[in-house]
Amino acid sequence: MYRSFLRSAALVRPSIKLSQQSIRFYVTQPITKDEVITRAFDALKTVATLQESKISLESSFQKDLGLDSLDTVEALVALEEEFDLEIPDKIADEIKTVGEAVNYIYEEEQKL
Amino acid sequence: MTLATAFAETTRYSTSSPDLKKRVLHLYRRFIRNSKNFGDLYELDMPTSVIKTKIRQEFERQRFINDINITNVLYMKGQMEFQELINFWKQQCHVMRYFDDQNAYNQVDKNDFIKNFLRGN
Repeated sequence: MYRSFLRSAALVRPSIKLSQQSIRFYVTQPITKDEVITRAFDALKTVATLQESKISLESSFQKDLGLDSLDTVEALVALEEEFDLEIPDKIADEIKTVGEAVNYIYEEEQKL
Repeated sequence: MTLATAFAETTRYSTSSPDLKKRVLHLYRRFIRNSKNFGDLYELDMPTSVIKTKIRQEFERQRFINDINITNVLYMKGQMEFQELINFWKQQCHVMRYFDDQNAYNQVDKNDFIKNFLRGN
Protein backbone atom coordinates (compact mmCIF):
# COMPACT_ATOMS: atom_id res chain seq x y z
CA MET A 1 0.00 0.00 0.00
CA TYR A 2 2.87 2.27 0.93
CA ARG A 3 4.57 1.53 -2.34
CA SER A 4 1.51 2.34 -4.31
CA PHE A 5 1.25 5.64 -2.52
CA LEU A 6 4.84 6.44 -3.55
CA ARG A 7 4.06 5.56 -7.14
CA SER A 8 1.06 7.83 -7.23
CA ALA A 9 3.10 10.63 -5.65
CA ALA A 10 5.67 10.24 -8.40
CA LEU A 11 2.97 10.60 -10.99
CA VAL A 12 1.54 13.70 -9.37
CA ARG A 13 4.90 15.48 -9.18
CA PRO A 14 4.96 18.25 -11.81
CA SER A 15 7.52 17.88 -14.55
CA ILE A 16 10.39 20.33 -14.45
CA LYS A 17 10.30 22.97 -17.13
CA LEU A 18 13.61 23.48 -18.86
CA SER A 19 13.06 27.21 -19.17
CA GLN A 20 13.01 27.68 -15.40
CA GLN A 21 16.56 26.43 -14.80
CA SER A 22 18.19 28.46 -12.12
CA ILE A 23 21.94 28.85 -11.81
CA ARG A 24 23.51 26.44 -9.35
CA PHE A 25 26.49 27.61 -7.37
CA TYR A 26 29.04 25.00 -6.45
CA VAL A 27 31.07 27.49 -4.42
CA THR A 28 29.74 29.82 -1.79
CA GLN A 29 30.09 33.53 -2.22
CA PRO A 30 33.42 34.91 -1.04
CA ILE A 31 33.21 36.28 2.48
CA THR A 32 32.96 40.04 2.78
CA LYS A 33 34.97 42.21 5.10
CA ASP A 34 31.87 43.28 7.04
CA GLU A 35 30.96 39.67 7.62
CA VAL A 36 34.46 38.95 8.93
CA ILE A 37 34.21 41.91 11.28
CA THR A 38 30.80 41.01 12.72
CA ARG A 39 31.74 37.37 13.15
CA ALA A 40 35.06 38.32 14.72
CA PHE A 41 33.39 40.65 17.21
CA ASP A 42 30.83 38.01 18.14
CA ALA A 43 33.60 35.47 18.64
CA LEU A 44 35.59 37.88 20.79
CA LYS A 45 32.53 38.43 22.98
CA THR A 46 32.72 34.78 24.01
CA VAL A 47 36.05 35.38 25.73
CA ALA A 48 35.24 35.89 29.41
CA THR A 49 37.37 38.99 29.86
CA LEU A 50 35.92 40.71 26.79
CA GLN A 51 32.22 40.24 27.50
CA GLU A 52 31.68 43.71 28.89
CA SER A 53 34.17 45.69 26.83
CA LYS A 54 33.51 47.77 23.74
CA ILE A 55 35.38 46.28 20.83
CA SER A 56 36.37 48.35 17.81
CA LEU A 57 38.81 47.70 15.01
CA GLU A 58 41.38 50.10 16.42
CA SER A 59 41.33 48.77 19.96
CA SER A 60 44.52 47.12 21.08
CA PHE A 61 44.13 43.89 23.02
CA GLN A 62 46.50 44.80 25.80
CA LYS A 63 46.30 48.61 25.96
CA ASP A 64 42.63 49.40 25.28
CA LEU A 65 40.88 46.20 26.22
CA GLY A 66 43.08 45.56 29.22
CA LEU A 67 43.93 41.95 28.50
CA ASP A 68 47.09 40.29 29.73
CA SER A 69 49.25 38.11 27.51
CA LEU A 70 47.37 34.90 28.30
CA ASP A 71 43.99 36.57 27.62
CA THR A 72 45.29 37.74 24.25
CA VAL A 73 46.18 34.17 23.35
CA GLU A 74 42.68 33.07 24.35
CA ALA A 75 41.10 35.80 22.23
CA LEU A 76 43.12 34.80 19.17
CA VAL A 77 42.27 31.13 19.66
CA ALA A 78 38.58 32.10 19.88
CA LEU A 79 38.98 33.80 16.49
CA GLU A 80 40.76 30.74 15.12
CA GLU A 81 37.91 28.52 16.23
CA GLU A 82 35.31 30.83 14.72
CA PHE A 83 36.98 30.97 11.30
CA ASP A 84 38.39 27.44 11.38
CA LEU A 85 41.97 28.39 10.67
CA GLU A 86 45.24 28.30 12.52
CA ILE A 87 47.25 31.48 12.94
CA PRO A 88 50.96 30.56 12.96
CA ASP A 89 52.83 31.48 16.15
CA LYS A 90 55.06 34.02 14.42
CA ILE A 91 52.14 36.00 13.00
CA ALA A 92 50.07 35.68 16.18
CA ASP A 93 52.90 37.27 18.16
CA GLU A 94 52.76 40.35 15.93
CA ILE A 95 48.99 40.85 16.16
CA LYS A 96 48.35 43.63 18.65
CA THR A 97 44.95 45.07 17.67
CA VAL A 98 41.56 43.66 16.68
CA GLY A 99 41.94 45.28 13.26
CA GLU A 100 45.18 43.46 12.55
CA ALA A 101 43.59 40.15 13.43
CA VAL A 102 40.57 40.88 11.22
CA ASN A 103 42.84 41.87 8.32
CA TYR A 104 44.85 38.69 8.63
CA ILE A 105 41.70 36.55 8.73
CA TYR A 106 40.22 38.39 5.76
CA GLU A 107 43.37 37.83 3.69
CA GLU A 108 43.43 34.16 4.63
CA GLU A 109 39.77 33.77 3.66
CA GLN A 110 40.50 35.28 0.25
CA LYS A 111 43.14 32.64 -0.42
CA LEU A 112 40.64 29.79 0.00
CA MET B 1 51.04 3.36 14.59
CA THR B 2 52.16 5.80 17.22
CA LEU B 3 55.14 7.96 16.57
CA ALA B 4 57.13 8.08 19.78
CA THR B 5 58.53 11.52 19.09
CA ALA B 6 55.28 13.19 18.04
CA PHE B 7 54.90 16.59 19.67
CA ALA B 8 58.32 16.19 21.26
CA GLU B 9 60.50 19.22 21.69
CA THR B 10 64.19 19.29 22.48
CA THR B 11 64.73 20.80 25.89
CA ARG B 12 66.37 24.17 25.57
CA TYR B 13 67.48 26.60 28.23
CA SER B 14 66.27 30.19 27.71
CA THR B 15 68.68 32.71 29.15
CA SER B 16 66.44 35.76 28.77
CA SER B 17 62.93 36.16 30.09
CA PRO B 18 61.41 37.74 26.92
CA ASP B 19 62.44 34.65 24.99
CA LEU B 20 61.01 32.39 27.66
CA LYS B 21 57.82 34.43 27.81
CA LYS B 22 57.30 33.91 24.11
CA ARG B 23 57.81 30.16 24.45
CA VAL B 24 55.40 29.96 27.38
CA LEU B 25 52.76 31.83 25.40
CA HIS B 26 53.22 29.44 22.49
CA LEU B 27 52.83 26.53 24.86
CA TYR B 28 49.68 28.09 26.30
CA ARG B 29 48.32 28.55 22.78
CA ARG B 30 48.97 24.89 22.02
CA PHE B 31 47.13 23.86 25.18
CA ILE B 32 44.13 26.12 24.56
CA ARG B 33 43.88 25.11 20.91
CA ASN B 34 43.72 21.47 21.87
CA SER B 35 41.46 21.87 24.89
CA LYS B 36 38.50 20.45 23.00
CA ASN B 37 40.69 17.55 21.84
CA PHE B 38 41.59 16.73 25.42
CA GLY B 39 37.93 16.62 26.35
CA ASP B 40 37.14 14.25 23.49
CA LEU B 41 40.23 12.11 23.97
CA TYR B 42 39.78 11.48 27.68
CA GLU B 43 35.97 11.56 27.57
CA LEU B 44 35.88 14.32 30.16
CA ASP B 45 32.32 14.91 31.22
CA MET B 46 32.60 18.71 31.33
CA PRO B 47 32.34 21.64 28.95
CA THR B 48 35.46 22.85 27.13
CA SER B 49 35.32 26.12 29.04
CA VAL B 50 36.04 24.25 32.27
CA ILE B 51 39.07 22.58 30.69
CA LYS B 52 40.29 25.95 29.44
CA THR B 53 39.84 27.47 32.87
CA LYS B 54 41.81 24.63 34.43
CA ILE B 55 44.66 25.12 31.95
CA ARG B 56 44.62 28.81 32.78
CA GLN B 57 44.71 28.07 36.50
CA GLU B 58 47.70 25.80 36.11
CA PHE B 59 49.56 28.56 34.25
CA GLU B 60 48.47 31.23 36.71
CA ARG B 61 49.79 29.24 39.65
CA GLN B 62 53.32 29.89 38.40
CA ARG B 63 52.74 33.51 37.45
CA PHE B 64 54.88 35.16 40.09
CA ILE B 65 57.95 32.99 39.82
CA ASN B 66 60.82 35.25 38.85
CA ASP B 67 63.71 32.81 38.96
CA ILE B 68 64.52 31.99 35.36
CA ASN B 69 66.04 28.63 36.28
CA ILE B 70 62.80 27.51 37.87
CA THR B 71 60.70 28.89 35.03
CA ASN B 72 62.79 26.99 32.50
CA VAL B 73 62.14 23.73 34.32
CA LEU B 74 58.44 24.56 34.63
CA TYR B 75 58.23 25.22 30.90
CA MET B 76 59.94 21.91 30.20
CA LYS B 77 57.51 20.07 32.44
CA GLY B 78 54.58 21.86 30.84
CA GLN B 79 55.75 20.83 27.40
CA MET B 80 56.12 17.21 28.56
CA GLU B 81 52.63 17.37 30.02
CA PHE B 82 51.29 18.62 26.70
CA GLN B 83 53.03 15.84 24.80
CA GLU B 84 51.68 13.20 27.15
CA LEU B 85 48.16 14.59 26.99
CA ILE B 86 47.93 14.97 23.24
CA ASN B 87 49.54 11.58 22.52
CA PHE B 88 47.06 9.84 24.78
CA TRP B 89 49.82 8.49 27.00
CA LYS B 90 47.64 9.20 30.01
CA GLN B 91 44.39 7.73 31.13
CA GLN B 92 41.23 9.42 32.23
CA CYS B 93 42.05 9.16 35.92
CA HIS B 94 45.37 10.95 35.39
CA VAL B 95 43.60 13.88 33.78
CA MET B 96 40.81 13.88 36.35
CA ARG B 97 43.49 14.34 39.01
CA TYR B 98 43.62 17.99 37.90
CA PHE B 99 39.96 18.41 38.71
CA ASP B 100 40.30 17.08 42.23
CA ASP B 101 39.03 19.12 45.08
CA GLN B 102 40.43 22.53 44.33
CA ASN B 103 41.25 23.29 47.93
CA ALA B 104 43.43 20.22 48.22
CA TYR B 105 46.43 21.95 46.69
CA ASN B 106 49.16 22.96 49.10
CA GLN B 107 46.93 22.60 52.10
CA VAL B 108 48.98 20.64 54.54
CA ASP B 109 47.34 19.92 57.81
CA LYS B 110 50.28 19.57 60.14
CA ASN B 111 48.31 17.87 62.85
CA ASP B 112 46.86 15.08 60.82
CA PHE B 113 49.58 12.87 59.39
CA ILE B 114 47.26 10.16 58.15
CA LYS B 115 45.08 12.59 56.23
CA ASN B 116 48.11 14.10 54.48
CA PHE B 117 49.53 10.68 53.78
CA LEU B 118 46.33 9.45 52.16
CA ARG B 119 45.97 12.60 50.11
CA GLY B 120 49.54 12.29 48.95
CA ASN B 121 51.18 15.50 50.03
